[in-house]
Amino acid sequence: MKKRALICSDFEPGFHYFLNGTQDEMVHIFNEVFDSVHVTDDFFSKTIADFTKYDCLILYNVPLFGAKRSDNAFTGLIDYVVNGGSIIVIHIISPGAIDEGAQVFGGRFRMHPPYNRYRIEPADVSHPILEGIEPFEIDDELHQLYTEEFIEKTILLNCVNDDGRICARGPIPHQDIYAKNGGIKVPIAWCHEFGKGRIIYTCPGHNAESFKNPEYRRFLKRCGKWLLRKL
Amino acid sequence: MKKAILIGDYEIARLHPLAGIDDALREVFKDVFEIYTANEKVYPNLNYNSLTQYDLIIFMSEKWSITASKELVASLVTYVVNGGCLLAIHHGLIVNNTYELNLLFASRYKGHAPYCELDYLPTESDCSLAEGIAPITAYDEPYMFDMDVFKKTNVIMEMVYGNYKYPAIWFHYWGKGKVACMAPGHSAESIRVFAAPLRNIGIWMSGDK
Repeated sequence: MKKRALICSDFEPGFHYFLNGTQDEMVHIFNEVFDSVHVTDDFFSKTIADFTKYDCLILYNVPLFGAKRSDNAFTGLIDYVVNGGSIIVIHIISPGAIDEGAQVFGGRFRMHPPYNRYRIEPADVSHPILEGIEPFEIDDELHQLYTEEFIEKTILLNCVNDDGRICARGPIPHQDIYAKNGGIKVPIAWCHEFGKGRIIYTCPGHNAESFKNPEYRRFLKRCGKWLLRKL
Repeated sequence: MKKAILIGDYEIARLHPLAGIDDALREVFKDVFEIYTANEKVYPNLNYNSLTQYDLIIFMSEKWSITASKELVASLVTYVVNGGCLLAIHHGLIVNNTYELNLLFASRYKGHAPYCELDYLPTESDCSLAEGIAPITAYDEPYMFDMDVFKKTNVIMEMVYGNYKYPAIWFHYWGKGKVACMAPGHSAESIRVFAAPLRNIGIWMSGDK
């Protein structure tokens, strides 16, 4: 059976512009895991019947912007994953704008310090996704989230602020706690099960450059394999 | 009349056998729901298709730690997100082995102090489910919960314990569905004492309010 993935994004320029190289990089990465990678900017027209044609959904940017909890596309997303589907959310945790989405996907966007170079380390945990993954540095936005405490998730990657470079005091409350406070680990990627399905959230992915990072590409491919139950 | 299925344990229950509670619920929901039961030999085999034959699921499994399965959890979530109604009462709220249901209930059970006499007070909610709800004094177990940080819920009654108030009855929409939770309900007598809020929940879930 051919394995198919569907990237749900939006094509609006100016805000994580998907068509400015990001699409090409993402398709290239996931083409090495799936037999075919499809792209849509029309999340809202989709239903559970559409989602089940794919082995994995990849949510990038804000395809759910403006969604309501009772929209067919949103309920279809929950239906899909709880019954065995696989979903990876990259960078913006867009389902988190809806209460149920924040619960199921494990978080809601809170703030991010400025675009900068960050050091990323695999979490100290035995997980097949992390086999062979080495620490790396990446230029990106460090999204910090409010997180769901009820789900049992496995932290995969941490941003480690061990050199004080992350940011100085910012305009948003709490932003300053990450400045010059060596050793703080900020979880930026995790996985968990939901019903019979699998979910991954991973933060890096602000623009095409993020997806060119060799170690991060390797990580994303292993995420895809885990979602396919090949790990 | 609409149909409800009561999920719970009879022979394997240690503290909360459904015998007696089932009849109390039938009295409370008289004229609103016809209540069928699914005991521990039946409900582990329920699936989404069988659940959709009912307009309401009343969840009171005591032995969920051994009867739960991924299939049934998926069926319950699918049922609710697609528009089904789920009412969890007392020990039915102890589902910490399946966090998916904690998310539906917007709560996670923490524990309880010994059975005692308790005061339950209506909140100042102006929603229709709070209409006609008077303070209740009842013997029950003071269940306590962590409430979900994301899911906004509507608390219509609170339990007084010590110097604090704790959520006792709450409800919300979840996806296209409706969820209500009631922390008291240790016995058939307790179900009857809470008939007024339970009936309001039933009417809301039946779509008439």
